[in-house]
Amino acid sequence: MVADDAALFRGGLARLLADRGVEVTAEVGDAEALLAAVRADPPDAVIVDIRMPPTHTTEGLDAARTLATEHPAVGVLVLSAHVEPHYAVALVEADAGGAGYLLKERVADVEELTDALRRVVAGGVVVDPSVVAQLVGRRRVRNPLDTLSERERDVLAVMAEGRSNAGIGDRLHLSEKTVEAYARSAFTKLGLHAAADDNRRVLAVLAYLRS
Amino acid sequence: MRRWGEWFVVTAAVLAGVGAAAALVRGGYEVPVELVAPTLVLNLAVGWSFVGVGLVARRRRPASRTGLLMVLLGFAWLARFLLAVDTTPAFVAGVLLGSVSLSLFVHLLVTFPTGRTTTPAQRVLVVVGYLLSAPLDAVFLALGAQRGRGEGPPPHGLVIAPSNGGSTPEPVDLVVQAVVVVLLVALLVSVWSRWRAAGVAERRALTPGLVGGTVVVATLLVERTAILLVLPPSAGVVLAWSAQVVLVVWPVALLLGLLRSRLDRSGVGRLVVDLGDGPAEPGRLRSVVARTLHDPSAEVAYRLPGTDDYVDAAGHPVEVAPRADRAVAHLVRDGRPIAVLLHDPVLSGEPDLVEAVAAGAGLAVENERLHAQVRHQLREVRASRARLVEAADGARRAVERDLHDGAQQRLVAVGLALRLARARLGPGSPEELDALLAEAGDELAGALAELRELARGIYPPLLTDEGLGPALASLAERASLPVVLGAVPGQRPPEAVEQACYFVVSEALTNAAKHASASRVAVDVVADGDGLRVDVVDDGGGGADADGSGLRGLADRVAAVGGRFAVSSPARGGTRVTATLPCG
Repeated sequence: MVADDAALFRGGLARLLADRGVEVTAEVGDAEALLAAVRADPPDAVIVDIRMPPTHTTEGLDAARTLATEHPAVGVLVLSAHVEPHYAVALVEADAGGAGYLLKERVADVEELTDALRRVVAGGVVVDPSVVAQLVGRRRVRNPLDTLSERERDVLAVMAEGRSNAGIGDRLHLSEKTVEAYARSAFTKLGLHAAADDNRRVLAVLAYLRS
Repeated sequence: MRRWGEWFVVTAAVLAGVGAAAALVRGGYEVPVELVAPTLVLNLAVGWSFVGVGLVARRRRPASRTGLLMVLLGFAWLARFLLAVDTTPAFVAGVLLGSVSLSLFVHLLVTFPTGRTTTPAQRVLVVVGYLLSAPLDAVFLALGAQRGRGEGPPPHGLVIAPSNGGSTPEPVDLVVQAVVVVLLVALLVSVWSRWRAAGVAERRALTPGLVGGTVVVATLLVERTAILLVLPPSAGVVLAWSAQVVLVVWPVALLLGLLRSRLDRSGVGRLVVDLGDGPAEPGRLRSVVARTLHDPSAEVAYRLPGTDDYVDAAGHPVEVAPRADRAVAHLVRDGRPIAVLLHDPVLSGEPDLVEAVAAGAGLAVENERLHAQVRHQLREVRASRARLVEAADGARRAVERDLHDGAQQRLVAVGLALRLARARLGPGSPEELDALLAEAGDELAGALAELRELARGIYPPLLTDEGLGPALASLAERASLPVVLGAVPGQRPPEAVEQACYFVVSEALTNAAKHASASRVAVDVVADGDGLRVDVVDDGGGGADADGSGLRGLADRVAAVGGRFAVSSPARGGTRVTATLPCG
């Protein structure tokens, strides 16, 4: 299900997804219509633009929050033109069971888009790499990230995007065991505690990066 | 001419008094010897008091009819003594004039101090007062009632003695008395409701006359109810005497009220002195004038040159059209109106006092008018500066939105189309083409990233959506040097303040990164009274130019929301930018 007020973009996105074998059950132009469509026929996931009528501010985020309580099983992928960690963290905190924050232009990379969709459908979280890059790249007075090796930092960044150890391994061409080792040492150096599951681990890392 | 008129009235009053005395002694009735002197003294005192004081009032307050009514009342009072002459024409004239004096009393009390009716209720009271007296008595007389004539003392209680009320009252008497009682009560209600509605200045004028009048009315009321309740006649005697005693002094009380403001003439002299020594703060003239006029509601409004608009001392616009509860006196200098004095309408009865105050305040008015004008212009300039900043911010937001909804959206769509095109190429197409499309996609991604940062720099939607805290955190995250951001107050200030605060931090961070070669910056936003204080402190080389265009622009922006802006940047001592922003 796709919700975006720009019909051209919406149509293109639906075609791209259809090409990849993703069934698009509805295309709507605003949050109201999206919620109505989900209530009528809950899909596996929705892709929603953050900024839609009537106020053109954060309707998409608000809709995602509503869905998180009404339909926790539906994955929500929010598309945004803003590299703002605040929005991304607000989203994954509200809906840790299957939510993602992607930059709009990311959809041109269809592999990445379908990968993100799969992850939110599976209940994972997705945070756009540019959002993570901004957090990791932040200038700090005494930067604890400087104590990490390059590999450890890479693992931490990809982890913050919401991937599991296996996913991190795929991305960085490492074995899962190696990833685990890097993750453990990075956590130890930063004084972070290992979290109970992947999603909480992402939140912990994001919170750490934002502090 | 007027003097001759006054002498004529005085002579007539003296003659009327002599006539009254003659009538009492030689009129043909039996008057107890011991009552002759008190009756004469008291009644002559009442009559002459009204005439004399009425003349003074008329001279001092020609605009008021009170003086005239008092003179007439004095004569009517003395003319009652025709009752003491035992002939039918004298009896008729005495009865009629006696009741006219009561009507005049009502008229005087209701309309004091102007002598003119102003409301329908007052008109009704005065008219009923006249109808109940002479016309009613004329009807009785025409029906042949000449009670009390014959043996004994003069009729109609002219001489107050117990034997007067001896006879049993007839039903018609009771009805008339009941009507009179109702009238008297209505009179008291009317008079005191007027007092309650009056302003301070008006009350000063009303109080002495109303208190005296109330005593008289109350005495009459008790006396009349005594007849209705058939109380022993001796009680009525005491009351009747005391009512006459009060009547002797009442004219003086009326005059006091009429002239009360005169007593404050010295106040005008003090006004000039007061205006001379006090500090020249805005609104001081108003308070001194209000004190001098005994009118706390008095206001001074200054005319803006070249317009018909008036402003108060602080430069706020003031409506100067006259209203029911407010009169307007124009202050003119060199033939041009420069200010107006808004005051209690009762003071209109004393134009000379208002004029004296206006004249006494003359120079101070001119002075304060210039100040008021400057303050007014300052307010206008401030308002227009705030509007300019608001308009500029509105424009920034519009540009950001246009970029987001227009160019950014289209470029994203183009990226999508490129992607679709690559997917459609399929196997067998030249690799060169695929590479070209991929390159175009990368370029596009770069352009989008640049456009995104540009739009964000123009206006951050996060500020409007989520407020200062998240927006400043985002600024700190993307700054090119370490930023330590303190906790930002959670409550959202007005939009203009939020924006001013945000752009101060944004610009100061840019400066610190670009020019100061700083290694870190501390940003603190704290609640400061009703407002916010923001400090941006870097550890760079200092020496920032507060008059440079960036900082100058910030100072203007802060001033537009009524705040204060300061830059301290000693050489090699870092730079501190501080803005204090009121939220009220």
